[in-house]
Amino acid sequence: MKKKYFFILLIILFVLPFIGPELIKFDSVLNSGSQDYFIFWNLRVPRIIFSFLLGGILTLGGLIFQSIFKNDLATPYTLGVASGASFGTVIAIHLNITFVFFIFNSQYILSFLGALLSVFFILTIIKIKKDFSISLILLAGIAINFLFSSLILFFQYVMNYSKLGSAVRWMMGSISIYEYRKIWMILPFYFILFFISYYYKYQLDIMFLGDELALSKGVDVYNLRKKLFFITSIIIAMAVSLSGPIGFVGLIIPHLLKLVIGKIHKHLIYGAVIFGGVFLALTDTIARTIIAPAEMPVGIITSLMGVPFFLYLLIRKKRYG
Amino acid sequence: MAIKIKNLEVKINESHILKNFNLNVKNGEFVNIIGPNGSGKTTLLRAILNIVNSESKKLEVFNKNIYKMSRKEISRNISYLPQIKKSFTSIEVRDFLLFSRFPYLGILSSYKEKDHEIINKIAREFEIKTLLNRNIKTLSGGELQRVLIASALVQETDIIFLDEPTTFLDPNHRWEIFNLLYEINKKENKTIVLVTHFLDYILNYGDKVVAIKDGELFFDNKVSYIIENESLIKNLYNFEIEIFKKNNKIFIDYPEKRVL
Repeated sequence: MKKKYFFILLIILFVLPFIGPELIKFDSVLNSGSQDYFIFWNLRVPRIIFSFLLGGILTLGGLIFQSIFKNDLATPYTLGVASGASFGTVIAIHLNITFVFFIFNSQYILSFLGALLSVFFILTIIKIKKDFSISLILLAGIAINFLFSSLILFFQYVMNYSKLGSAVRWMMGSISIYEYRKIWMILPFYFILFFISYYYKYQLDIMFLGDELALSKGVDVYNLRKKLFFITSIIIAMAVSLSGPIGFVGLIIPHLLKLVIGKIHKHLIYGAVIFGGVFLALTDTIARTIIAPAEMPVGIITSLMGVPFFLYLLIRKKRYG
Repeated sequence: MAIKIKNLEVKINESHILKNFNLNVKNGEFVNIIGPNGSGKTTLLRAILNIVNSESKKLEVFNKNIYKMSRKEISRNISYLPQIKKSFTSIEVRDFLLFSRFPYLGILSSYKEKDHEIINKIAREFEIKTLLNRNIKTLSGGELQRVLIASALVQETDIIFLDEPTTFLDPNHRWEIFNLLYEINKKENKTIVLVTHFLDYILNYGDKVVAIKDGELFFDNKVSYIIENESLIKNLYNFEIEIFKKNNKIFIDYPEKRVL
């Protein structure tokens, strides 16, 4: 049964690069001289791979945050990583900062630094208070979210219109990718995130019971929460800096998986990388096809497509929570 | 000696919760901990588990320094059932019981057939076999407590801590749980430390009673001694209590607390 779904998702993934404003025929993919060959291998395939990796990271990140904070409404962005990254990007756009460092251009770097800034703030607050409780971390994160949001609004207010347009566009989240460079940037982070969620899969199950009970079962809750929060945030920061804050995936897909395959992380983490990845690849394909030749930001499609599906599952399955 | 505590001090946010606390618990003993609300009973359990920051001259479990033990190692010696809300999670009972095998899990290894065998064996003994595939959220209060106590046995620790396990139970189930604990203590030779307010039970069937008041050890006596010196209980709770015997049973009356 589960294997069947796995193969369906895999087939979808292989079919996706053929779909777009123009359908690509299978034989032109092998014919290296044609224009379709170029579009297929240099535009569509890298884009599908990238969105697959990104969807996996966002879903796993959301899953980890929901478990370590024992909160169903937690997303990878709850603690201000996305607004920090957006702030960095808005600064880069407003001040016209352009440079290239290694293979990263300035906009990625500033948005990554912005995200790190929000992580740094939260860790400082935890350190001052000597408190690793969920409520403190969540409240601090939400406060920092608001801080960056108002700073973003301030800069948007003083920006000129053309810059404002690109800043707003960036914050809608979109996967624009050309060739394979971004994939190499994100791939190591993808494997790190998957490995740590695999490594801590049993701890994540137990953490959902609450701190006291988890401690009594031998899980070092406070250290693990700090560690996972830090690593996951860095990786989410990297993802956001490359694609903008794509919403919905990190919040709803983990829940969708819990509805379908239960609450055991051993199964959930595979579901997250496979289903989360295919979901984003699919929605991105729709986003670049639906109003061709223009392209819609994928963040709009993820929610438009995902919410009805999720609500259907929520209503059909009577017992959840 | 199962637990040795010497000069234990716990401070949380500047307030002194436990002061100069000394206690020894022998292997196989059943210790009842009583005291007014907020006197530090739960904090004592948490301090022994090293969940709260504490200082002491000595804090040992089976002659090993707790401060130097890893979380998993502590969990292989003590299982702890905190006070929890009924709907604390929604997973299947079998999965929940499996979590009690976590302290025995090596790095990057998974739960084995042996872990499942232990669960099945204890589920049979506890008559909770029919509950194994139920969601923990759907259990009644009595069923949940049975499952929680079973989880302590699945954890295979020599010491079990329980924090007011019978608070939300009706009298019938309350007695059932107490009898179950009594049985585990006698048959399996487990050391039990139980925080409870249920004086009727303690005075009739208990053995060792440890009383805490304002963070200090108030008394540490056998039940027979307490029954003869009812002022001990009176001073512990600061109100009138009468203890009397009828047909070889102990009854408690609260003369000052009658309405009208």
